[in-house]
Amino acid sequence: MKICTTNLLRRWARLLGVLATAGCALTAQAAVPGITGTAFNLTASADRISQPDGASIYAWGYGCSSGYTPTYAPAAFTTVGMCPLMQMPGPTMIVTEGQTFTVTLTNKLPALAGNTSIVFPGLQVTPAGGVPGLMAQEAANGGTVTYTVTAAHPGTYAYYSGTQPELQIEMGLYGAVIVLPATAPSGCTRGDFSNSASAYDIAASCYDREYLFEFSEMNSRVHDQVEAQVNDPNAKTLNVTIEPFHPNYYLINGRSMPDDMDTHYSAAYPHQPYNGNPHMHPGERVLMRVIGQGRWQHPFHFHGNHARVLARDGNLLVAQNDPTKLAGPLLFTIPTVSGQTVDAIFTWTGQGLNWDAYGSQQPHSCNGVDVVTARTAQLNPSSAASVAVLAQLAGTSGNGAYPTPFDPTTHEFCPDHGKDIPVTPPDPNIVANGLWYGGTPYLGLQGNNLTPLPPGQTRLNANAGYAYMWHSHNEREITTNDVFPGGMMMMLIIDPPGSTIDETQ
Amino acid sequence: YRALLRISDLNVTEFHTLATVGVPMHVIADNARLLRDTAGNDMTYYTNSITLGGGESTDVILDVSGSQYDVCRTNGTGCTFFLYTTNLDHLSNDNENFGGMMTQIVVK
Repeated sequence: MKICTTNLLRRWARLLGVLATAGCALTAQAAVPGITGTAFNLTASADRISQPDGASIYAWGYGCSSGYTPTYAPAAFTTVGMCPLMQMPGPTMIVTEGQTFTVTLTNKLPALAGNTSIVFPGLQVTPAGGVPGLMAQEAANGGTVTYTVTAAHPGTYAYYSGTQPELQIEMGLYGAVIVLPATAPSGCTRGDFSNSASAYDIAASCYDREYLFEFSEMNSRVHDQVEAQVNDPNAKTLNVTIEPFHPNYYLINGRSMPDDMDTHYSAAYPHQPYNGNPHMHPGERVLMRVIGQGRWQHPFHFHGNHARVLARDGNLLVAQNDPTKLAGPLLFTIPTVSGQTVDAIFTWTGQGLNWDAYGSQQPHSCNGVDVVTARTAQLNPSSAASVAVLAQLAGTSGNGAYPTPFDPTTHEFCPDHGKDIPVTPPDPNIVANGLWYGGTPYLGLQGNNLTPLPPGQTRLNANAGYAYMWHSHNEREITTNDVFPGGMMMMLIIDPPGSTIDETQ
Repeated sequence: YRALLRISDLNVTEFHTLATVGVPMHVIADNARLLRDTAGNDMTYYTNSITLGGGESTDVILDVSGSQYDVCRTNGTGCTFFLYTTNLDHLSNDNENFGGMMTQIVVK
């Protein structure tokens, strides 16, 4: 089945200057938006961020200096991108391997905050201007400092304040640098809206879409103390109690659930532009860029499949005897270690479910076999005709068009094609539907039944995809100021093949 | 002389480190996957401590076939080693010390 927004497709096609095809094309949309170029002008300043419990919290963050208009990346975000004076996390800077770029930092924090700075772990930095600090060259209040940075290797890197970091990072002064490989390995195709075709210089790191997840915690009581002192005309120095550290907000990209599942650059969060809302089609390789920006570890537990770790701190892990082969482990929980970045590739095809996720009586084909033929073969697998059908589904029939058990177009796992779901689904009139339930146990809207849910039921999952919870397994952290659900939680949606995923909406 | 320890972290608040003294752990699997790289090389390793967060799991082999453990098999009472958390503040039952996350490995 195909669910497409044809007008949207035409608009994107014109933007790209490509011909819109007659059918519905898969428009893969990456979702690591940021700013790109070779000269970045950042400012550190104070403003407020919002949380889903209604709180408006005083915070500090990096943002784009006034008068500086950044170039947004990927190109799809050019018309919707924004870079305010203060944002949390700071702007994601997207650069290329081997490139030298400058970051000019202006300190517009309140005078009481003193100096500020940026450190770039894993990257080569030469400062100019500013005043010397303990860990970095700093910008004095009202002043600037310029860092000349070279990104020698591709990967995901963190940047954050090197000045009084125990306070300044918690207040919000952190962000990410994404370094793209200089040349794409052969055989990798860059999605129209991806930052790159691959994460590193080897073909095994090719991907179809990407997401950045910056994990951090916040203790609003610290922010309240800072705000009170900043507004106190008699305060001579900033004197804040940080320990014992008891965060009450747990953030992914600066937002708590459900705000993190809202759009990028949403006007509802003028100082929190980035979201945590992964979508994918079956079979796509999803690059997860994970950064621990807080001071606590969080077990990032992503349901749906294991992911193969590519790299840690921008260091690609390859086999000692074969540098084209990945050596990182398969994990279903990535502990977000403070200060560490992890890149991993996740995919999903339905393999292992052991039934036809698209509906064993819903017209669709897999490896060239229609579902009726497949279902007959699955119900009577030993007949001669069935053996031939099952071999084609498994990709072992020698048919050159179907060499693997995965359909070349939809990536459905064909050995399960036509298999009935092994349970009787319950009476839809007596179940309680979760917020992301698509209405049936199947992937995608079934047949002509475009409204399988009772009236009044919220449809957060318009394409009736599968929802998998991606969250911190420290369950106390999926709360917003003691209220569940909230905090470090998001849903991965597996959208059915043919549906449009538009990361800019 | 080899025991498989299947370790699953079910907590929902903190990370814990489990350690042994005297019987090294051979970590053979992490998150329910055998530790191999994609070229098939053995990526298992030996350690005295493993750190797990909620939702993580690991499989570990304890091997006491070495000759240093022979005395355990002949002395009539065996040898006792501890499997315990090095987060020492978790070795208590509320106010009562000497409790919490600790158990013993007995070699006989």
